[in-house]
Amino acid sequence: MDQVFEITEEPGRAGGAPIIKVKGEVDVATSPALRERLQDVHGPGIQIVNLHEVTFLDSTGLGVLVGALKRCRETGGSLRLVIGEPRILRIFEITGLTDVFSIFPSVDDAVEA
Amino acid sequence: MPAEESRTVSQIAGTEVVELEIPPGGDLLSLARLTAATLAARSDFSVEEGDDLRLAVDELCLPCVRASSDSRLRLRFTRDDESVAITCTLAEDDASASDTDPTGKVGGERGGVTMESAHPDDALSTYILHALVDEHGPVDENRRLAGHWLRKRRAS
Repeated sequence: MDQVFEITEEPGRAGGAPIIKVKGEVDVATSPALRERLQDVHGPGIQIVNLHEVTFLDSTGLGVLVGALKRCRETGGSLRLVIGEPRILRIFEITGLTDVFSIFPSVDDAVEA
Repeated sequence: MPAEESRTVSQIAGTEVVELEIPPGGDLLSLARLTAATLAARSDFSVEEGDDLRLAVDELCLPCVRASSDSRLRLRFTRDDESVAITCTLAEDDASASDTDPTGKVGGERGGVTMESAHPDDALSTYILHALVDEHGPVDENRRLAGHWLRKRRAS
């Protein structure tokens, strides 16, 4: 089995919003917790969600991220994703969402972009 | 066998069949993914192909999970040297139905649970499946939708 699902926060860089870090498998069982955590991710400024340690992501998790992106944009902000694993990037590529999300290979890249 | 999970494995002339029944709600879909990945490896799929099958079986199951919050999922994996085929249907919700159908017939003699209507999110699952596998489609029983199936072949 892969890692246990977990959502934690890292301090924001240079006064930015806290970075939300997700670990483990994001599927129909765990995406409700992610949805709940991302409910308050909106408003002006840059929000970063670190998916570097996510080992699986399906369409339910993708839907949660799309919802968060929409809320950020509607409130004048932006959402940046950190994805290191090609197998996680795969579902974004299949659905054409690599052109919609701002995706970075590391937190440093996401902060500095 | 408790209603939690049942799994049988049989081997017929180079073909392996694994049947898995998991509780309602999708909390244990990881078992379906694990089984798919294991069978992909046994068919010499590449790591990437195995990852694709792992995602595909999850998307295959999601319409059934959305269709019923109180029916178990019945999965049937059939593997040979070149491909893995998977069928996902809704099982009856009484505990006695946890025994897998020895004939291997989808839904079994007892009859499976049919899906009354498609959920809007099913279209995304279907789109993703289309990109990941060679063939996929609905499972019909008595002219009603009972689940979905897929087949993925090894690239070389």
